[in-house]
Amino acid sequence: MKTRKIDSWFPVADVYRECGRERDLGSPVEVLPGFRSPVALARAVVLLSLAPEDAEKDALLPSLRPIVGEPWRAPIEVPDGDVPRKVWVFGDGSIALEAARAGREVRLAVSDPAIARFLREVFGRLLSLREEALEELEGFLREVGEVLRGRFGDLYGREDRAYLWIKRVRCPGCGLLIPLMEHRWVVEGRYALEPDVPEDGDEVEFEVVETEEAGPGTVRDGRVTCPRCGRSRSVEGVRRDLLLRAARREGEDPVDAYLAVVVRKDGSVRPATDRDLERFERAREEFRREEREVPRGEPPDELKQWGIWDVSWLFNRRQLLAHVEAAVATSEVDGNRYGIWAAAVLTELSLRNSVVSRWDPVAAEPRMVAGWSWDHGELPVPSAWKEVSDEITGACRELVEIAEDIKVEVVKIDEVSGSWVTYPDLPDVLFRAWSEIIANVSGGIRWWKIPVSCGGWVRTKEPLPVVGGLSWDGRVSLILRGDRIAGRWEEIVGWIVGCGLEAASAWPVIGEDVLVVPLVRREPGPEEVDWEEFIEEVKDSVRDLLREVRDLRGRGWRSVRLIPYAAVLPPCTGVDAVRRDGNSLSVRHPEMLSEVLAVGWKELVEAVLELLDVGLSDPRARFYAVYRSLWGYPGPDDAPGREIEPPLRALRLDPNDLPYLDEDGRLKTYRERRRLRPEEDPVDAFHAALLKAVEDGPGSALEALPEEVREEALELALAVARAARRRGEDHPEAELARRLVGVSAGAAAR
Amino acid sequence: MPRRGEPVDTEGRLRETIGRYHGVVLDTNAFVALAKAFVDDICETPADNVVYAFLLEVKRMMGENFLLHSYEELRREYARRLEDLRDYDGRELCHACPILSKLLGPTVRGLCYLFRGHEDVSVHDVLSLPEYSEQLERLYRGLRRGYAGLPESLQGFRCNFKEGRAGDKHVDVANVMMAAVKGSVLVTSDRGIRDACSELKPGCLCVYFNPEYVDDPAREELEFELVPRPGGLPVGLRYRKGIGKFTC
Repeated sequence: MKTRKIDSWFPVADVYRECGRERDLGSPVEVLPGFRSPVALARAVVLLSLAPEDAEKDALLPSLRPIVGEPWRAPIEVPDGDVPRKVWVFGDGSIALEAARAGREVRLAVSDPAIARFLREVFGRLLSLREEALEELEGFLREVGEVLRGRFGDLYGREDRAYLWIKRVRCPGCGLLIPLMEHRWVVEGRYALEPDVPEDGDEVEFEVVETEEAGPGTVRDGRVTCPRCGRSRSVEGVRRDLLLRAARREGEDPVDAYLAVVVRKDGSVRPATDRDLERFERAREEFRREEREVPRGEPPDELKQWGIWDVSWLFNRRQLLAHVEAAVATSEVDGNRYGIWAAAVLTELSLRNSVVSRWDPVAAEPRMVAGWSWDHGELPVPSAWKEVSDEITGACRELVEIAEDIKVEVVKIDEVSGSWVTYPDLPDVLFRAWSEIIANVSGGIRWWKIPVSCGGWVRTKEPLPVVGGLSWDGRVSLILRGDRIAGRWEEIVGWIVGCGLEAASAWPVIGEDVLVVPLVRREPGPEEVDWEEFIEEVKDSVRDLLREVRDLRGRGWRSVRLIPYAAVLPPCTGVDAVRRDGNSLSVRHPEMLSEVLAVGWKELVEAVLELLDVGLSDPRARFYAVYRSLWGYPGPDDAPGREIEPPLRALRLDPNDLPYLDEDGRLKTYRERRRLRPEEDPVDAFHAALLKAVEDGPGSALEALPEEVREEALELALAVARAARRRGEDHPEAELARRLVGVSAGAAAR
Repeated sequence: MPRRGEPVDTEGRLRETIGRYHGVVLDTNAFVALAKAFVDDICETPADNVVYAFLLEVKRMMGENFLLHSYEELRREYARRLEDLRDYDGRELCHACPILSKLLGPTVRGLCYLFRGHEDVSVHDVLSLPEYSEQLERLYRGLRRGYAGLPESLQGFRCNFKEGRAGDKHVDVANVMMAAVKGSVLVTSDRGIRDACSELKPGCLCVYFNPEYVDDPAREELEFELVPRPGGLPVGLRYRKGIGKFTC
């Protein structure tokens, strides 16, 4: 088997930068279903998987990092040599596009029937008929838009551009319906909300004020505070209430919310009036009047834990009515021919027009769904349909321009017999749901069958977290989703080996949160290797990978947690047994796998602490510092969950001994803590110092601590401040830690 | 980088965007403002201080220790040359202007171009990289459209640099190419460069600050724009000295 460049080299930092640039410039494929990876990542995987091992880095870099023009426009050039003409691509339109543009004949294997049909339209009809197909598509979408304008004229105000809704929950103390706001901005730096809290009664009213500084919201630092009685509750408690409400199906709408503000087309902002509420009520009435087919599908877990168990619960009644009516209008105009395109438009539209489409105070409109949100925006569907249609046709136009003479055959694979499946995201689920309604594409994906290392097959409801892949002649380059690896680590290793493959290497892609894994056919290797050598290889690999990304900053830093998996995959799939203390042990025994992973994590913990340049000795403090460095201060949606198990195991910590660790993997901040034991636990000491600093200022905070824990608490404060800086994240805890460190440095200087 | 739909935090997003780049390339005006700020008595306007503070902020966003060595180098160089101009009593014979004018020479190495890891680069070497020759030609042709009087070919342009016949226009154009090749942040107050970056989309982040703000001594703030505009950030951003916050 010939080795390829990707087996030994992957320019992580360059790909990170290019993916960022692609997002800033607005890539054409990001709005199209089935195109999941950024083009920059896809081209890196394609080029490096095809390029021979001895290809010069300098010759490859211009393709991976074009210095002029949009990154997706420059064609990639594969160096001459033994490169196959035909390749398989799994699941991802971006990879298929790039492989085809590099002159390969591509067979694209897709398991989702709706996406398969859409990609057939793109790579078949659109890219062969080109301008003609585009004009027809534009004409069709325009026609649907006109139907929608006629049908929904009275459901939205004529001059309205967007509506801001704020969810509410009843205060157990005074009965007020607390508006749940993380901030008060409607338009950042310009308009803010001023809640008018009544002395009696339970409803808050809102005023819109023109201001450059806005007051704090009611949701802060994991707690919800009532603006009337000051009683505070944990966000977790509020979440349980919402879950209960959803379970009891209280109310017609999935969430209880205030309609606070209307943003007009001219950019001005006004508080919502009774007339606005009347319009909403009218939509609700109309929805009630007749039974309609609504989209069905299972949303991701992070939404289910807030009570959204079905995608139809993503919308309030007006949103649902408008979306469903848009689907009906599409069928009336020409559902058979263009239904799949309409489903694409509707998917993009419904992602921006749902009860979890967070309000963006910079653009003064709702953003795409990305987990739970306390506020949400609503869009008038007729005008939003036009905007989204223009974006989709614009993206297609760009595709037509960059892709000429390409050959991509889309194959719908059987999801039970084939093990190459991709993990469905919310956009995929919505796309399938809308396709079922408009384009009569049946769902049918329920179970997957995957090979396991001990022989045989297992059926699984969840597919492996594959985003996409490229393959030929028994070698594959896969892209795995980072946030799904931790819980399924052993399964992934078993699956790779069960397929007769091994990982030649593995690379985390910072910022994209994915792991690129080049797999090659398994060759008979050494019967067993020495344990010491084995773990030395893992440790070196962790250090090497970290060296490549250590200069990077920002939230992408979270992807560093994939380094242990990347370091451990090649030895764990390439070696069968290790010799340890005279015994021969199977590498892929679950206990062994978790021990090897713990070695990788331990090394990463050491390396991260070295980067933070702190000398912490207690494992609890070390864990706290590394956690804040990698995960920062996650909200309820991006809680790490099972991801923290390996680092805990590496540090030999029992989660039950850490009172500040939630069951969903969130670390409590100083404000959420009760009953501290500063003399026993350095993290408690650190939190106690911060609480003291809040009360009496940072000057005496450290002196109040027992002397033996003072230094550790100070080091932890330093680590927390540096971690926040590296992640580019501001948090009250980090700010206080900074002050604590500053005071201490000042005292030392004196 | 934030994925689609993630909440936007202006300052965090800025820090994240700038932190992705490999270094900072300063155009002549930005560099003058920066250098002036080192010498109190020629730092004429509060606006210069704002530019200086702003550049320090950019530096902060690039991460710990970044640029520090280069600033230190600038300081040391300044001190050394000032030392040469002291008489035997240790009194200063003259102030910094002539020294700075030397320091501000466009091709001074390691001063206009500040990269991670203290790279020593020369314009000529970067413009001669064979792997990027085709793309550099394309970029040069695009940039040249806005600047009359530059040589027709990139080769001629390179020769100008080699022979030391490079004027301000040369430096401005070379800065864009340098920033694109090195994947850096390009700080400029030249509208032409800003427009060229918007049209040609070189692989650098252009931070364009409005020169009117710099020239107005009464202002304690600086308006700037990022090209390309990172998703979720508004077009006009302001930096207010003292508050130390980026706002929109």
